[in-house]
Amino acid sequence: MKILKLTVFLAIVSALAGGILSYVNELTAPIIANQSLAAEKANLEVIFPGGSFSEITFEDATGLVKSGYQAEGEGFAFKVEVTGYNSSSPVQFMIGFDLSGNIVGFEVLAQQETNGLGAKVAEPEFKESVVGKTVNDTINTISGATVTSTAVIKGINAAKEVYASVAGVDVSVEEPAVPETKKVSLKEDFSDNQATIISEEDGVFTIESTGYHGANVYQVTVAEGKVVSIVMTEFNDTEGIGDQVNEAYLSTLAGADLDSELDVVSGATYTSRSALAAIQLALGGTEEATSETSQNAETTEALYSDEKATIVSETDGVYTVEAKGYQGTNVYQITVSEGAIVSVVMDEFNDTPGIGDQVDEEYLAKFVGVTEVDEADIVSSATYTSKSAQAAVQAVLDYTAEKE
Amino acid sequence: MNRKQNFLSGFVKENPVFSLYLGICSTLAISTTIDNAIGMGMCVTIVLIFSNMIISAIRKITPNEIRIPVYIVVIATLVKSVELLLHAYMSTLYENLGVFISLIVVNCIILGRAEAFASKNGVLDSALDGLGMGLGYTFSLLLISTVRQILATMSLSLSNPLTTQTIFSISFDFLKDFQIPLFGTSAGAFLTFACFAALFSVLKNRSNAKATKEAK
Repeated sequence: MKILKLTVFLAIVSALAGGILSYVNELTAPIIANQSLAAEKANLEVIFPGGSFSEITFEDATGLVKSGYQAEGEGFAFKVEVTGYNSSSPVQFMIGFDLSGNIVGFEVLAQQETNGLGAKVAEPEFKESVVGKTVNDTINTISGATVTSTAVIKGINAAKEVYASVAGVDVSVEEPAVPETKKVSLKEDFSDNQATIISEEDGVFTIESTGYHGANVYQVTVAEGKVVSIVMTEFNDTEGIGDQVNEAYLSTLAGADLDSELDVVSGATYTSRSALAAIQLALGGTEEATSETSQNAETTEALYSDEKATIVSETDGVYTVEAKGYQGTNVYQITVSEGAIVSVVMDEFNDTPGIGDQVDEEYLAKFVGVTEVDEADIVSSATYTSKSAQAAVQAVLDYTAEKE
Repeated sequence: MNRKQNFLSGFVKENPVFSLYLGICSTLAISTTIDNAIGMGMCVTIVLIFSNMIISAIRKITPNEIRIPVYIVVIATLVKSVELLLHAYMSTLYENLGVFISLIVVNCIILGRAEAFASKNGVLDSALDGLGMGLGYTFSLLLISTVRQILATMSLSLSNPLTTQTIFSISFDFLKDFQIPLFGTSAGAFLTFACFAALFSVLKNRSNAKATKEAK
C-alpha cells in the first residue's frame, strides 16, 4: 500500500514536470529555430537576395554539410565545413543550388588558409569556376592550392548529394578534377626559387633551390646542354606534399634542354618548381640565371659569412646583409658606427606576408645602439624572421669587431 | 531581524562558494568574464528561489522516502525551462555558458538548500534563503571573474545579455604589456579561488571570535 502511494506521488510530480516542460518548449521552439536562421540570413541573402528561408533537415553521410536551407521557390543553400591545409580551423562556405540543378552561389564565410595559396579558394577566380556549373559538372582544383581546393570540392560534392536527396534531382558526383597539367617552360623566370650553385664537378652541379618551406638540394648532371639526371639529395619541404616530387617525377626530367616544356606535380607545384629552377641554373639558364651565377661568385667572396648570415657588401659603414628567415632570405641594410648599431632597415623581405612582416620598423628599431644581440627579444609567431634580423645584426657586430 | 540575518548569511558567513565550497565546478569554469558571471549567477538565483519555494510548498505532502527524487525532478524541470528560455532570448549567453547551464541540475548549492533549508521552513523564508544564497553565489562569481578578466585581458566590459549591447567597457591600455593569459585558464581560476577562499576564512574566523567574546 505504502509503495503504491510513493509511486503515485512521484508519477504525479513527474507528469506535472513534463507538462510544464512541454509548455515552455512550445513557447520557445519557434524563437530558437528563428534564431539560427537569423544568424545565417545575411549569408543566405547573398545567394538568394530577398528570398524567404526555412531550415531543412537532411541526412549527410560525410558530416561535412552543417546545415541546409530552402529558399521558397528558388532553391536550396547549404553551409559546409571542410578541413583544408590548416587543420585547426576549418574552411566554412555556403553554396546555393537553384531548382533545376545549377550552382547559383558560392561564398567562403571563414577560412584561415595560407595567404596566396590555400586562401585562393576565397578569391573571385575560384568562385567563378564554381558558380554557373550544373551539379553534373566537375570542378577543377586550383594548381598551387591543391590541398585546400580539393577539400572544398569534396565539401561541394557532399552538398550536391544532400541537394540531390532533398530536391529529388539526379546528381553525378565525381572526384575533384585535376586541371590539365600546365607545362612549364624552362625559359620562365624562376628567381623566386633562389637557386644557387653550391659546387660543380665534371658536369655534376650541386644546386640549392627553395621550394615551399625550405631549400632543397639537387644534384644535376648535365652533358651537351641536356640534363642527364637529376637527384634530390636533401628535402626540406612539407612531408606528404612536397615529397610527391620523387624519383619517378625527377626521372621524367632527364633529357630536358633549355627549350623543353616540363610537367609539374600537381599538389606539389612549389617543390616541382624548385627542381626546374635547379635544372635551369645547371643548364646555364637564362641571362638572369647566368647573372645570378656571377652574383653567386661574388657571394663566395662575401666580406663575412657565418651559418646564419652573410655580409654581401659594405659602403661607408653601411652593410648589406643577407640572412635566412622562414621561407626565403631577407636582406638588411645595417649602419654601424664605433661598434654600435646606428640603424637597421629591411631592404628585401622574402618571408610569409602577414607573419614575417611583424618584424617591422618598430622591432628593428630596438637594435639601435646595441653592441650585443639579445636573443630572447623576438616577435612571437615570427620567430624565424626575427632570428634572421638578429643574425644579420650579429654578423655585422662580429665582422666589425674582427676588423678592429 | 532573523530573516535579514538569514538573507545576509549567504554573502560571507555561509557564502556557498567561498565558505561552504559548494558548486565550485561551474564557478571555476565560467568565471572568465563578468558577463558570464552575472548570467550564470542569475540563472542559479532564479532556479534556487523557485526550487526553494516549490519544495517548501510541498514539504508537508512529500513522503520522506522519496523526497530526494522529487527534489531532483523539480530542480531539473526548472533548469531545463531556464535553459530553453535562455536559448530563445539570450543566445549569446547560452552559447558562452554551454553545458554549465544544464549542470545547474546537479549544482550542490540547489539540492543542498532544498534539503537543508526549504524542506524545514516556510515558503517566504525559503524564497528569501534562495535569493540570499543565489546572490551570494553571484557575488562570488563576480569577484573571481573580475580579477580573472582584468589580469588575463587588462580590460573589463559588461554587456546587456538581452541585446548584447555593451553597457560599459574599460581598458587599461598602459598595462597591456602585463597581461597574464594564465588567468584565462582553469589554473588561474584555482589561484584566484584559493586567494578568495583564504580571505573569507579570515573574515569568518574574526566574526566567530567576536561572537564568542560577546557570548562570554
